[in-house]
Amino acid sequence: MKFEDEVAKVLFSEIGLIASFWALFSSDLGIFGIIDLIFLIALVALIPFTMFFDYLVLPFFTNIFGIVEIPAEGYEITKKQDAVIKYINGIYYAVGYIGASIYEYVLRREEPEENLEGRFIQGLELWERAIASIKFPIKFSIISFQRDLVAARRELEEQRDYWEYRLSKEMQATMPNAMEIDNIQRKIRVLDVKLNRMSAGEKPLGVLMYASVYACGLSKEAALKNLEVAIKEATVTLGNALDLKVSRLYGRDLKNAFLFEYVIPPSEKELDALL
Amino acid sequence: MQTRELLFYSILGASFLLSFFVIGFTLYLPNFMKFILIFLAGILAYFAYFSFKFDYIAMALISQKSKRIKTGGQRYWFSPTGDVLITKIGNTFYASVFLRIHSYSSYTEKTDEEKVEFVRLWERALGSSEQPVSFSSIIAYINREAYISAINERLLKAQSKYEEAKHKEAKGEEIERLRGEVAMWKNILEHIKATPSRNQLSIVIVTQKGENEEAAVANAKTVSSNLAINLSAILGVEVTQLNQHEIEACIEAEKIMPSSEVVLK
Repeated sequence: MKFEDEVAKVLFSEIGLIASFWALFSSDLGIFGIIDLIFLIALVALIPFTMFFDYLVLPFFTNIFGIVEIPAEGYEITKKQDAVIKYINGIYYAVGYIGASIYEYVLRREEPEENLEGRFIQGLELWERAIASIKFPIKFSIISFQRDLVAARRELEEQRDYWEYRLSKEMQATMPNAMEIDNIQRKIRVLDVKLNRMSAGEKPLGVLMYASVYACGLSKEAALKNLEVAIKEATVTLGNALDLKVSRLYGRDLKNAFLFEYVIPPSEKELDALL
Repeated sequence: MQTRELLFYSILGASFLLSFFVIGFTLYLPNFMKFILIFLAGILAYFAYFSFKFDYIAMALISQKSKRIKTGGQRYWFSPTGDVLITKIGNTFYASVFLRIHSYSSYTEKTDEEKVEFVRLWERALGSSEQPVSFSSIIAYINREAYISAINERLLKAQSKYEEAKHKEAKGEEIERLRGEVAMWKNILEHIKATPSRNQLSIVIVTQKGENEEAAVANAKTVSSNLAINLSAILGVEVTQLNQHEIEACIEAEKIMPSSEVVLK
């Protein structure tokens, strides 16, 4: 889904609400008017909230209205949109997904080349230890794709221009904040390193990381309870061992992870459209 | 116009209509009716966006009118050769090939230079394909059903021999030996049951699409064979294509967590 498309739909829906406000203000409803006013104000806020926090909104609605989704024959997504359930041979199997972000881990480093070897060695050792300590079935997946070089470079240059502008504004201020200047300069250095690596011929690589956690039980509730425990353990283990930002996947993200178990979108464009 | 857009504009249009109806007939409508109509107009404006954002749920809810909504049919099927997984999304066929990387050495045992080299090779491997590729590491339980039933069989045999010996009033030494054998098999069985054995698999998934099944499968096979050659050359390990049974063992929960192991736990 294109970001611009989504923003346009948010704006159209807000205009729809403006029409409702117009209708409200053209009617003299007394106490009913106040109730409608509060309700419409809440909806005005709820639309952008849905756009940014869809992983909270969808499970909220499906849970309230008791909607169970069947994404494929023999599978169902729970009302909370947090797990996929399968019933086979008298046993309920539950699969939950956690997403991992390496943003904090590598990309935010000021000088990615600094002590690169040491980090490589440590990172994989921790990975092996983490995997050995997990006592339940788990699948850790990385989807890698080559990004469009021109677009990736343009994106970085735009970011760099923005931070350059922020730096000049901060430096021209009557009371420049030294910490803020230092912070902005660090961000510019990180972007410079990325741009230099790209200039040296390194292809920009996009990476998506997630883990599938499996649990089972003789009832649906038992399977979900076991899954909850397993996911908590996996989150702590992977998060601590690999210094990753790990979070559980819900709603659309969960459905995508369920699909990625056997289909990987064959192009960056299709992957973007799904995410 | 896409269905989701059509749905969005239809619902939003209904919201506008209700609002303008209230505005136009404000003098003729009772207050309670206006309250309800404005309320509904607000809900529809929100639901318009909701239906755009979660189109698959909204469309299923509208068309199926049930709380159990079906958003997909058959999850996947296999090509006649059994080594390519096929699925259909919309009107497009997608074919996925699963490759296994046979790497048996432990990273921790390597020297520092070997570790750096190993990581660099993996980095190259990750960037070796122009198409998006998934690299997965699976920790699955090994299905030991056959092994456990063989041990069980031995235990039963030993038990029947022991009972027979007791019945025939055999020598004390012989009875003792058979009792020891029974205890031994019992201990072995208990030990096996205590912890499930685990297996680690490294797999690569690559998908290609096509207008029909055959085209998707042919594309996927071409891309995957190139990828297998690249990965094998970069990592210096054997890369093989998985068959139907092995693919299922990588994606189906009941194969990753065999019931025999689950029941034992």
